[in-house]
Amino acid sequence: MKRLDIGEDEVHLIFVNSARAGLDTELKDGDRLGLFPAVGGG
Amino acid sequence: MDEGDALEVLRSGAVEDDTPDGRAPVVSHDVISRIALHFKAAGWQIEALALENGIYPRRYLRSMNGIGRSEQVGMLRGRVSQVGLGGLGGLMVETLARSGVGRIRAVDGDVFEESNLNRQALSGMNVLGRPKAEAAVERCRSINPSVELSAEAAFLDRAGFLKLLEDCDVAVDALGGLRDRPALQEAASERGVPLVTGALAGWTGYVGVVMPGQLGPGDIMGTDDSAEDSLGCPAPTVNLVSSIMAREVMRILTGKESPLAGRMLIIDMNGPTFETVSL
Repeated sequence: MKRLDIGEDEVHLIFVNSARAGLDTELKDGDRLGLFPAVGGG
Repeated sequence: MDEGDALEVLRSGAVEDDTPDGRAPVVSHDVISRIALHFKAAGWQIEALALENGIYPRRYLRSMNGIGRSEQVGMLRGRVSQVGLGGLGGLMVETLARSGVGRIRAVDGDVFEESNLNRQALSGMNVLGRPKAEAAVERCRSINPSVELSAEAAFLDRAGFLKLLEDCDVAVDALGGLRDRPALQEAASERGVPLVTGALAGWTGYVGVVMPGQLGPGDIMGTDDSAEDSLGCPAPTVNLVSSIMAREVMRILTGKESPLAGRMLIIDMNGPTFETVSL
């Protein structure tokens, strides 16, 4: 996230291969990573 | 209400017609309203009684290829408590009223502003400055008088949410912003009812179903600044998220388990992509 210039506090949901993951989850080649900010609009 | 008497009037007011289950007696809204008035019952009660006895209310025929007879009865007898009558909530009321969800209890303390007109289904030039709760009642009555909608113009705290969720089958989080979402999720959990929740920012959004005690978006998203402040809330995303939420509300009312329980459907309308994530 540092390399992408995304602050840790901006990311509220991390998912790897469609399962919720954490900042310490190790990524392998071919993993699909999603970073989701706080979203609350209606 | 004497159900036998009501049923007799229903039978005499019905006409044989095509239904998703073949030829069957079909009854129109005017007959339903007349019987409801006479027996001092709600329209949904008369419609449920009709369906349980093989008489089809005409207004639901075009839904009932996908929603079976007993499922439609479940929706008519269902009770939904909903927070928010803005973007997500306004279309939710429309969809649930058209679909024949019998009782909806809703709350929203806002009045309509010009900035709501881009997306909020209940907003319009004629209701600017008026409470959203009032507009919801009028809209629901004009769409489907069989549905009992009570809408209160108020902002609730946790205790208020608990009261709102008393004796309901499903809770709907159609709030705008993150501040009150955790309190609503906690209240639903304490009441032991499933919560259907959703939110959006720009062309992205999510829908989730939180079963009592489960982890949900309310635990994850925080309560501070959120992305919609910079990305906005365009109508297509609002309506898509609301429609997916409504489908899950209907599914739960028909006694089925939601495939989104414990999960979030993440929507990106730019791709477009849909991805389900387990929490």
